[in-house]
Amino acid sequence: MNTEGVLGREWPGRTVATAPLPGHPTRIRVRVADTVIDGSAVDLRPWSITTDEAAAAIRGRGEECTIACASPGPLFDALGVVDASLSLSLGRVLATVARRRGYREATGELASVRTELATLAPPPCDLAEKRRQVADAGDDESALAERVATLRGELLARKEANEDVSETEAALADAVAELTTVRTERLAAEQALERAQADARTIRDQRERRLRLQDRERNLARALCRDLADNVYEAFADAVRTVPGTATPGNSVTEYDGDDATAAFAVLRMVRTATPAVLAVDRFRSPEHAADVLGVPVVRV
Amino acid sequence: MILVVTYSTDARQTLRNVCTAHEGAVARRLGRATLFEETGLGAFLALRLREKHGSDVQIERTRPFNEFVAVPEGIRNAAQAYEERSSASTPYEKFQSGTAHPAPRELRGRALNDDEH
Repeated sequence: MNTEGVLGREWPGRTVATAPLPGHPTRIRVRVADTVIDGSAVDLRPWSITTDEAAAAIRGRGEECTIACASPGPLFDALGVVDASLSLSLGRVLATVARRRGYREATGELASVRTELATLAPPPCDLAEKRRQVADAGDDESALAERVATLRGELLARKEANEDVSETEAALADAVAELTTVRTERLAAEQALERAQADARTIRDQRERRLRLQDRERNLARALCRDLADNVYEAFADAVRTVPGTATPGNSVTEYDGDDATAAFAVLRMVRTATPAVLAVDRFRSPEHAADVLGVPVVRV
Repeated sequence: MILVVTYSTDARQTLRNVCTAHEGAVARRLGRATLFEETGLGAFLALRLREKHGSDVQIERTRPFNEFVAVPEGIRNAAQAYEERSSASTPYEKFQSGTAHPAPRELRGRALNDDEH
């Protein structure tokens, strides 16, 4: 009989340890207050330890309570604490399990999508300054056009009243000349904005391409994760039927119909880590029963 | 109306959130783009999106399309006649040659009438 456990064999040199035999979870040592408890199932309910405190202890950051055990990996983050608030991404978790069992996804297209994404660096397209110039030039032009109209009216009135018009005529000539200049500036600003808008179209094409690639990347990654998870789905379904709960596993990760705690129990039973699981739900007769069914050390809080 | 087009996943998500929160300001949702009502609120929401996501947000102003004002009669007639053609596979260029309908090159170069009243 192989005594290294599945993971120990497939991942030599990894610190992930596994229980030697099904039904024989690794023993841990818990120190709480002045008490030391050894075993594979430790009931901390008399000490009112919270799930957070227990998880911190397993991560080696315990204060009131410390736990000597194998250090937790990514799966502990996902399902190391089973309580009412557990929210499990089953596909992702089972993909992790599959990877630990040596399965690999075919990343061909995903890799090429990521390579292209890495080469895309669309420049910014900020036309605010050019829009402001057009707006300002338009304001200047309106103000001057108004001034020209006023001066024309004044000139007419003065002529009719037989008054001296030389000053008004000069002012009008100046205003008309200035209006011509400002109008030219406004046209130039509008043309500059139009050119910038044409350039922006190319930049937006690039940004659109990037967005499509990002969507493609996400969909591919999701599909690959599902495929990867399905490699171990049969084993997961078997485990679901063994642990307490009413879930119906179906034939693939998308068909799982049940609660997250049941799924977490099944995954724990599949991986049989030496890292303990923290349980804060009433699903087992006793912590010992839980450790026995799950094959992992159990800390009951 | 105010057309807002997004060009990144984050900007698209913010646009979705904004549309859900301000349904009254939304005239039409079009995937990663939205037509906002032409009101101060519509403009405010559009500008907020651009403040947050910069170049990943494009804002344009649209106006109603009145073909009887903006489009020369020849173009309208050509569209109607082409859709009534007898052979579905005839390309427009072939369809119009030898007729009074405008050539594709003419259509491309033709600006529309200003339809402001």
